[in-house]
Amino acid sequence: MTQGGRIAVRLTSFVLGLCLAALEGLTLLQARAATARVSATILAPSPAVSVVNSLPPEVSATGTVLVHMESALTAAPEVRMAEPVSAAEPAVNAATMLGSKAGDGTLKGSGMTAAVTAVPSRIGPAKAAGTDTVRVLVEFN
Amino acid sequence: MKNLTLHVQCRGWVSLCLRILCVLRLASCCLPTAAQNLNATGNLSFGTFVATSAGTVAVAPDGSRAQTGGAFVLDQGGLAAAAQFSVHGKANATYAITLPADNTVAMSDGKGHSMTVKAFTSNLSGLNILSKNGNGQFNIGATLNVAASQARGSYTGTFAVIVNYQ
Repeated sequence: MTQGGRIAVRLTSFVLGLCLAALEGLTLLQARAATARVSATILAPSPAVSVVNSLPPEVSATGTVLVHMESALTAAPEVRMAEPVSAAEPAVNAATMLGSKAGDGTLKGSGMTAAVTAVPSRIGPAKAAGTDTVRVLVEFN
Repeated sequence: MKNLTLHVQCRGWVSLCLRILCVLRLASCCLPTAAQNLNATGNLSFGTFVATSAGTVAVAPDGSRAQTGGAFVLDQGGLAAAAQFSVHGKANATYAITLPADNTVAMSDGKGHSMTVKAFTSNLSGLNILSKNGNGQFNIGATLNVAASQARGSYTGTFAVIVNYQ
């Protein structure tokens, strides 16, 4: 066999080796993709409901929170004062779960102010005098 | 002369074997012996919530939901759910999944507002094995970024998951 023939044979073997390695890799790394849908619904604009006063400083006490709902919500005629969910400020974190609530109403054209009784269900440490704010949610039916 | 002939014949056999190997390998690649599929069988839903300020809503792979900051989840309306995927391939095959990177998936309300999704998680870890029937399934959760003054409405988007069969 001539020198050129040997080189050709070696080159062919090298190329075949590369092809085999590539095919082996294709077999090992077979991937499939699928697409799923993701969704979310935001119900009420944030300025529509605002707390206009605060809990008393003693977190173990029963207090009253006033909730003002702006007239922008008149499109939702039935409003139920739902469970106050949590306090926003770290100072009242020990009493963030409010155990009871009261208040039902129907929105008027100019909005509505309703009182919600908030009873901390967990007793926190004694606190210095001051005010704490609490975030109250209103659920719409 | 005899030696030279034998040498050439050996080269011929080696070449023939290589050709056969190539044909067999091509056949195994081009003619799938078992279908490999990945299908989304359930969509990811963050449910319904109100946004009083910036916060997050997270859905775990088990479907449970958590909130931080000014996002407050509500039980009314659409319920939260983790995405579900089914995998099918060769029996006892191993596979790994690739989830979207943080904030590369966006949801839009179609009115110019959007939210991004981060921290995709699954109930799998590392390499996983298909059953003897070649079936598998997994769930995916994620965390939704809610901006301050996020506009209300229904947001939708899509995300892709990749399964790598080993």
